[in-house]
Amino acid sequence: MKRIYFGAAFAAAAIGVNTAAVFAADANVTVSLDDEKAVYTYTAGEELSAPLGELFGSFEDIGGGAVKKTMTVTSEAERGEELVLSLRLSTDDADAALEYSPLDYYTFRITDPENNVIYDSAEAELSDPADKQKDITLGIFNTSEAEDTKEYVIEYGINAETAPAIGEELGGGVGIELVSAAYEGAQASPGASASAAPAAPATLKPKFELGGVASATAAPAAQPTATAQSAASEAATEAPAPTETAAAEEKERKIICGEEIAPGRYTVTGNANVKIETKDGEIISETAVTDGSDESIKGVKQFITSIEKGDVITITPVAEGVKASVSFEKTNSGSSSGTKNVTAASASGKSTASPTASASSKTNPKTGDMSLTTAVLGSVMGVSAAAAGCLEVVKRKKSGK
Amino acid sequence: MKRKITLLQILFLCVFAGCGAYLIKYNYDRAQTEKEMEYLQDVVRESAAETEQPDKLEITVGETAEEPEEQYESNGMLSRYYPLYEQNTDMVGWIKINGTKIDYPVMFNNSNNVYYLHRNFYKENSAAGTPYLDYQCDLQNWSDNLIIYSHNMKNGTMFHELLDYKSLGFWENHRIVNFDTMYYRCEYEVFAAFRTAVGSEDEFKYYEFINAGSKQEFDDYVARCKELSLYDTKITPQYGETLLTLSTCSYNVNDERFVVAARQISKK
Repeated sequence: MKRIYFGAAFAAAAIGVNTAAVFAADANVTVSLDDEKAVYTYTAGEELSAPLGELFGSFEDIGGGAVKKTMTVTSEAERGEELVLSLRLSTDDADAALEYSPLDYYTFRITDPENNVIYDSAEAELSDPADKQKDITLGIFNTSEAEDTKEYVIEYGINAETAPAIGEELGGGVGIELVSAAYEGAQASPGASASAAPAAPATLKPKFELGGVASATAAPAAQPTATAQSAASEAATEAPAPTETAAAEEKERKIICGEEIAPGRYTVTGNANVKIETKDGEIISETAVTDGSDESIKGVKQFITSIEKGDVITITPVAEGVKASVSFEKTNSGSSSGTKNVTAASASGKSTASPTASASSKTNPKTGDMSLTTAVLGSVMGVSAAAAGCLEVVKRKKSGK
Repeated sequence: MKRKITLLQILFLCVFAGCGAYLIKYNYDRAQTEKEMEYLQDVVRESAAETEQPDKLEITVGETAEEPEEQYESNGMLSRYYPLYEQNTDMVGWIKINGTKIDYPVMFNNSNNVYYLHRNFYKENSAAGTPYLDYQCDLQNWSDNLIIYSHNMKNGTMFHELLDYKSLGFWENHRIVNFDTMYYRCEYEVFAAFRTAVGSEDEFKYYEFINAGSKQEFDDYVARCKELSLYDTKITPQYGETLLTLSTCSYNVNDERFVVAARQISKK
């Protein structure tokens, strides 16, 4: 009898755990340093922030020499999401007045098993004393596999040059953790695929630097006349007029599928470089089209592509001095365009939003979803069903006796 | 003994049914919310006199396409939003980020900062709520910082896609946020995206900044946003520009918020 009860309880627990697992975190990162190992579980799609302090132990034990260990990082992301994993050093004692940043208290040298240098603090620039954190990129994971493992040799020690000035107290307060970020994708190049794994880890800086072409702000259309606005409900505002961005020479144009152009299949012609990306920046294609007027410009006369809602199309000149011009023509017939004008009879409107409540202690509204509750309830459902079923089995066995 | 087992079975089955009923209602609510929002979007689209997307689109970089002329009511309100305003005069605007699902009315209640947290456009109970403007903000006198809150729904609606701003690539393709009031069509340029945990020692209380008492206060606020930002956009709003702050829950840590900050770049 006891076996039956234990069996029923075990089955119910198993069902409950499996149900909960559907809603539970589905990504893991395992970090091992020589014989020590730690596993961090997080929700796929969210960023990881895994403290490694316990794994590295107390940096005070380093003493005069450097410590050399083998570090293995395994990333399991069920959705195959490409991740950039980095070691992050952080300090609460950032101060622009310091001579050196506490982040430079330690030296780090990270190489791969073939002794290729991934990071060497001896060759890197010193951090700004005002910096609170420094990221050391380990590489891009899960480019083609759901489970991706990389091995490193990591040497760390106390920086003889900067440590005396920084001091043990500030240096000892430096934290180390493993963090993740979604892989941004390669810079635009013809035929490049964002999913291709580069030979060397991406050399991303903690704060990404921008480059490239300035995108111009479209000049506003003719303003509606002032008489269209009722003086009664549009009180003259004293607030200064917002400044518009300075119109730079427009060298590129971005359009979003679903906004200016409908999803579908198009034949593209013209004289331009046409790059199509998903809304997350993953490059779908990059093609140069040319009308053949200048034989020195390489490109195709036309190409056919399918675009989906949210895709971003960037149009840039195919060569210096050539105005970028492109035509998208649907390959299937579509409905003709038309406009609708609605002129509603209007009543007097109320004034725009104005607060009346005086400011007192203010709270930040909780804007989360209740998905955790539903996950728990789903598990409870599973357990209840299993328990009821097991009890039925027990009842029938008793009847059978 | 048999009776006890039967009673236990009934108990478990009741628990099962209760949980099932809640889950069904949860999913039904979300489906209803999506339908309601689609209806509101359709109303705006019809009122806005937008053309259907053409079968052939020609683009020349450097030439601006003609925009359709905006239409206004006699009270100055934009005609595109007026039909909805007539249904609920708590509506104060519309927020849209091209290329995302964020395309919703913005509500306002000047005495209760959580009124629309769990109410739909029609003021009925709704888990997803409706995006709403902070009760201390003033659109008539243009507060320095307009704060809009909305839920981060797991089914991808409301401000869920705001979390995509954690990625630089996403920001590069979605720099502009459209927040129209009932009278003006306005564009805002995102300059920072950050996280902050409510109640933590280093919490950034962005929701308390509505008006700057001085230029220094404004600059300090902007500097803090940029310091916390997940990446450097190299955009720094200047004193006098209206800021737009979009706030939603992030599930990274307990009670954390994900915030996108933008500055106004056009007001038509």
